[in-house]
Amino acid sequence: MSAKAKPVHNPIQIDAETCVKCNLCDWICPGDLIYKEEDNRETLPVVQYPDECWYCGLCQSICPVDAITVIFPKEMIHCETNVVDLLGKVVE
Amino acid sequence: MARDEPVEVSISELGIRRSGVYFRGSGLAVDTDGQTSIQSLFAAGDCASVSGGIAGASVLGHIAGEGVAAHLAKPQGARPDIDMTAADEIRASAMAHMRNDDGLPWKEFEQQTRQTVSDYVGVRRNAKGLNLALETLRSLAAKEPTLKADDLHGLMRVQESKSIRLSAELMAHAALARKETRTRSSHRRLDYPETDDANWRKFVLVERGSNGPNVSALSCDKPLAAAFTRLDAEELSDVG
Repeated sequence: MSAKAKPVHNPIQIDAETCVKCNLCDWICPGDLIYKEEDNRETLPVVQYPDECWYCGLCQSICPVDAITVIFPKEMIHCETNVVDLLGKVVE
Repeated sequence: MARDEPVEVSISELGIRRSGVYFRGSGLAVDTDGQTSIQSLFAAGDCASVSGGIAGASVLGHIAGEGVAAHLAKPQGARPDIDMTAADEIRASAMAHMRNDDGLPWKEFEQQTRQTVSDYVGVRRNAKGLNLALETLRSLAAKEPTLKADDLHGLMRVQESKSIRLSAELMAHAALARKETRTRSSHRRLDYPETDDANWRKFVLVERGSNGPNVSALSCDKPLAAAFTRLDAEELSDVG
């Protein structure tokens, strides 16, 4: 990736103060994005592959202390994809 | 009053995908217990042939669960015979991606697959576009052995990308075979714009053949399980 590349949006915000370092988010993430050192109540979970997030929200819903907030990027909230592009191409 | 801008409707909070093709009727063919053509492999929900949102998924999940329980209670045949030599070969070829240091990144491979599907296997289909898609998807298949995985996470993504490409190819084969338009949104053929109940009130089945996928059709009057070669091969008509 070049130095000019857009910084990767972090989809999963973890509140370091609230987090109880329990491993559940690591365990439930279907995309294998969240990594948490097992059996260590000192270390925070790390979002290892932020660009692969599907925004499914499972980590947020399983967190027992509501320490996780899923942050949708601007382009998902205000989608700028041309609807016509989604209809595909017609080969005559 | 006329609108001059398209209206976007999506429910992202529930994680429901936004797509023109929302309700589709495709997936693994299952019998009335939820069992697939592979003995002891059950399927329900979006991956199975009969789905219908969360209500369909929960009902068919229940049925498949009962099917599994009944299957396990049988005195014999519950455990599939696994060819361990074949399994070892698959494992070895899967792990080989870890050694492709200069290989193709899975993101690039997956992006090309997705673009091909959006462009030619999506909402507007015709024979030329579908054939073009198949050509691209086959040339991507030829590149599969060069896919690289940097770590085990990457290896998982590589396998997933290969599955996505295969699903796309199977979908293109099925779409090409069905020479009609059905339900408008899930299968719209620009070159066959009408629904043809006389010829196409049928399931289209795509199976692994000795030389690529085999495509056949089965009347909707027959149970889907009749498609399984292990049950009844006579019912199938060849449309490949």
